Amino acid sequence: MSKILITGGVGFIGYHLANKLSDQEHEIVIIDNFSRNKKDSDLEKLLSKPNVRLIEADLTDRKSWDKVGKGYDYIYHLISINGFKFFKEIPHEVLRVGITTTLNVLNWLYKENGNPKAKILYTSSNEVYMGAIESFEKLPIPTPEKIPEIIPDTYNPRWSYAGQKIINELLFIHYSKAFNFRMVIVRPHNIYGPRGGFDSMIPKIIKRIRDHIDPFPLISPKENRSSCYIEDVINAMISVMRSPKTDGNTYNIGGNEETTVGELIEMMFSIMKWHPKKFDVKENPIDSSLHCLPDISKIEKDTKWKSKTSLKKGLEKTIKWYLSNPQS
Amino acid sequence: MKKILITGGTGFIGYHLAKQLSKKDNKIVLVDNFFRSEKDEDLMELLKKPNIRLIEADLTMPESWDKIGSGYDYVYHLVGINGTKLFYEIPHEVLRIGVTTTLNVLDWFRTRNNKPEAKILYTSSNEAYAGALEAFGKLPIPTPENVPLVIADPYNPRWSYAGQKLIGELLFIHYSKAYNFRMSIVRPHNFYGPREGYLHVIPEIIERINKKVDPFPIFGADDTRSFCYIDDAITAIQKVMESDKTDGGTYHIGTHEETVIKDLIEMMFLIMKWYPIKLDIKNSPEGSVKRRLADVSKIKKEIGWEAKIPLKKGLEKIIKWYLAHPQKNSKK
Repeated sequence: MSKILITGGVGFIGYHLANKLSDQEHEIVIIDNFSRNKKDSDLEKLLSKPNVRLIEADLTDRKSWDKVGKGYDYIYHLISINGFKFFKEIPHEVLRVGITTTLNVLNWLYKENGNPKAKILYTSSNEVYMGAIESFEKLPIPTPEKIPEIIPDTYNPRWSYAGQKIINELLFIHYSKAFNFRMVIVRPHNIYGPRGGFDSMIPKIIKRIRDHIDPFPLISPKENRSSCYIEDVINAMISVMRSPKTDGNTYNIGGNEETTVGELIEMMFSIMKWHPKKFDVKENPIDSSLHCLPDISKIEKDTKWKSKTSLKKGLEKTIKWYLSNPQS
Repeated sequence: MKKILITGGTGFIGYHLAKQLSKKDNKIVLVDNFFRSEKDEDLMELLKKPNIRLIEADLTMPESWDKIGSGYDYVYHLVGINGTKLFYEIPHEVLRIGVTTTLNVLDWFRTRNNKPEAKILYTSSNEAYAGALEAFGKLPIPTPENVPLVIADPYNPRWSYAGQKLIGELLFIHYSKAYNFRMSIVRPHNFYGPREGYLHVIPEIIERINKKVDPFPIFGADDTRSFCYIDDAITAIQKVMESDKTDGGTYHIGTHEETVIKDLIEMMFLIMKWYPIKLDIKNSPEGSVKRRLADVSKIKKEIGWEAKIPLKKGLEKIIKWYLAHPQKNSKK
């Protein structure tokens, strides 16, 4: 049995991670301030488990950390304000929340947690390197972990999220070396699954298919993409956390089944048993993250993890959830 | 009369800036914790001036800001752990100090300074974009302000300084828009002058020439830099602050004169009237930047500043100072 802390624990990844870990007899503490998440029925069900405890706290405030306690074995630091809409509308908050919670969690870990064997995991993002496309029209595909990190334009709020992920990676790397604690960084790519919000590509497509939008918008249908089902992402994070081999390293997490965006959408039409008469084809705006395709050979080599859920199966589960949980 | 705050005020830029500003009828507060700088004669002399006050405080601590007061017209945020040696030795401190003091100064400025027309200036660095060269072998020379900022490798502590400057710029830009305050960002390029510490290229060369090291090592002999004398630099920083045309903008400060390191050293041999029998030409250290030249046309166009002091004259001044102030068993 391990004592596990999940910051930002009621979001997309946090919820599924807590759900999975709570099935394994661990003591789980999740912290969130519900700035973006609601206490929906899925969450209520999770919180009713005897080994899951929720602390409502704002982790940008140093005083909140007094409530967290100590003696944790594993810390998953998931907090951040995700979503393009937020990057553009509240870049100052995206920056502040990301950076101050990270400074605070690291400070707490090496001063207060009191467990020298504890390990902390940081969820970074492909956003840290995506700027290479805009700035240098150059990105190796598939993209390995060792890649420069870029802010193409300091004034464009779109890069606020990337900025805080870059500085947080640096903080994790150099604090862990200086204060000799265990850590690992992951960069999940194109995660999809139930309770994944309503702003990413797959939930948007589900809604359009459900609403029988015709002509159907199709963005860059020939582009390759590999999505990763949330359950596989969670398993990857747990594997990386548990393995001592991964200490100090950075890992891409992503799917291993490449399809074109067009094929993905056709698959969804067939699952949802509807097909439009006409398409409205658009080219990909440079601003989006659709281009990314991670090289996942490093995680497959260093851990036993493999992406197991087929795209068809993952889509079926995701579609089922979204159809019974429409956006309110 | 203006009330002026300078964070990191006893360092290289802070000292010279305070000295310049104190010549006018301004009220100046310097804050520093003497992490790198020292209470040397020059500083003690400066602190004798009736219009300069020193507050010793660690600005990474939120409590320290209670001592600062309010009502400042101009805030120069200069704190930063500079020096390549320190990037490698204490990257975590370079990051922590840079990031937390910037978060703290911005919070204090927008909530506690109580002067809506006040302006804050951030000293970023050419380091913030230097990684583009290593990562992509591509950087326009001369380099304008609107280039991408790049961390070539997050695991290389070399880029810790760049990292905190990168995020400092983003924080200044997006906080100033959200909370509607005045700010400018400057990126100094190779400032040099008296009292710049002992770990930078020119002071190190002066020391070696003074010790008559032979064969004489020249590191990165064919690298180029554009050295800007501190008096010119201070004028530029002050002008950017005091103009309202610069509000919200980012400006490179430097000279457009490009100098090959070997030529720089030859010039210094000449001024110091000594020449080694043999030169020991060495490659640049890992992570160093081959060529560095700022495009300084934006600051010239918008506020009419350009560097005036020729390299030879600046070198004469700095050499004179360093010969009179040899390194003691100093701190970092």
